[in-house]
Amino acid sequence: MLEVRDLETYYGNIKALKGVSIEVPEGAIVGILGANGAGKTTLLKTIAGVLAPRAGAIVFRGEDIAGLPSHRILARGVALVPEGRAILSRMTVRENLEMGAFIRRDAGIAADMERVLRRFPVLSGRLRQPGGSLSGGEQQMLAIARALLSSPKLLLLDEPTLGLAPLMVAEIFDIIREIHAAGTTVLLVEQNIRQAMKVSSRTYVMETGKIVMEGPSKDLLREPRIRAAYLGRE
Amino acid sequence: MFLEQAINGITLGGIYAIVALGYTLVFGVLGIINMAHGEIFMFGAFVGMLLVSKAGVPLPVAFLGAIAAAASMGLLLDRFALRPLRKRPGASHLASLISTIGVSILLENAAHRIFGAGNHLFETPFSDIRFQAGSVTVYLVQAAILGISLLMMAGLSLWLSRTRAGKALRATAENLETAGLLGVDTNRMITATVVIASAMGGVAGVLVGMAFNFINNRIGLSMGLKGLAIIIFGGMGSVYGAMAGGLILGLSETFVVAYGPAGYRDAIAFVTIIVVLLVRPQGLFGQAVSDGKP
Repeated sequence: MLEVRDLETYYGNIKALKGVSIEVPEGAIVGILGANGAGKTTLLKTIAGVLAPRAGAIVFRGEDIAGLPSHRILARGVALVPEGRAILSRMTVRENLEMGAFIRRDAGIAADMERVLRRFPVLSGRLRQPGGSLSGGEQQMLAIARALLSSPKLLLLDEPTLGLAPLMVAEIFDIIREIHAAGTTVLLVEQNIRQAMKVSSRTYVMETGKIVMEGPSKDLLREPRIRAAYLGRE
Repeated sequence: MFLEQAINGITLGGIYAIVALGYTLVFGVLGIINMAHGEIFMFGAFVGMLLVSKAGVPLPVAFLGAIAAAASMGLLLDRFALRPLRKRPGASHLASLISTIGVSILLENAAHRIFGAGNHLFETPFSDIRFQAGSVTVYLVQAAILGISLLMMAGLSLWLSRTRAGKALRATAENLETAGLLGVDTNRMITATVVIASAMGGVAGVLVGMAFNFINNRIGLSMGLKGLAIIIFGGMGSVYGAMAGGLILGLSETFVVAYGPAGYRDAIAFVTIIVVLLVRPQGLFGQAVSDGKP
């Protein structure tokens, strides 16, 4: 579904992605892990069109989308829930959700809105509140709900559990499983490495702008180098 | 006397509010003050004057002409002075501020060349019609100015809060990157905002002509400075702050002239800013900046 080839992205003269290649098959959950500054967020932002790559290709369903502006990429079915959630804090929860469906013109928006509110009941009681008044976990749910309202084929999640309490983390992982079960492909960047590797079928490991290891998640979980570097000793 | 002055003040305040809205909309999406806004407003006033006083067309047509002229100037401003800078990664957003200053100087000199430096009479066809209610006299022109500015403010508020495009504009103003990720073509949204703000400036130009009966090529600067004062007062980027700030400034100026030292009229705006910034640095309706974004 998504094939990233030899992607290079720069911040000014600093090379943040040094030729990254990954593949996300349709219907999969693929995880990316790595330390801070490894380039995970840069990779997702480049795929979503927030950053323009200087070299390489991003092929989504047979079309090279590298360098397209983000609204065009969303229109093709790739939605990003960015790190830090990016809630429109001065707009109400309802307006945030409406903006999620901004690109759609079809008749199903109202029904989808109801479905999303049933799934996230905590939001339905707060539709008139400004988005900025929600707690961190609620904001994350709003960000995911908003992204789902664009009916994406591929959902990019950038550290969705960052800074959340353990109960909320479990809830977010349940939501990711549900989204996947409903047919959406997911590319997940996570700090909760053990949980991310349990939910994903394939994992890429990034270090300083490069992919240094890749494979089926259940194999990597047993990989001694991964255990030492990311999972700690047990 | 008091009621008449209050009506004068609200009329003037309505015009100020429309000018300030033009600044605040552009500040919202671009994060800069559009220094050319005052001059676009001035050109709107001149186009209105030419249509009403020289060509003798009805006032509504003059409004349409001023809107068309100001909106096209906004489009050109964005296309040639702002958009080229947006595409450059790493260009400071101060670059576009300087760019608008350049356009403002260009426009002021162009107006000087075309229209000269003198005052031009702005004749409103119904400028003598007035109503008497007890001891209070209200001119039809004042009522028209008030009606038009209130209509524009109400229309803008409804548009921003109810329509899909208005919400997209607010999303763009709050966070450009997020709006893009939600599917808003932010480049087009910015262009549309500059055009809408400029069109409002054109309307304000005609309203000023109606209110003062004369215009010259320097009204852009003085009105521009007041517009700036109002958005600092009301809160940068705040639509309701611009409206409230405009009305407050119009009323306080009028009352100072009526009951106090008339020579201090233009100082009012700036005294008000200083006081507000001391007490409430984010402005009346502004939000304290916490996320590092203006």
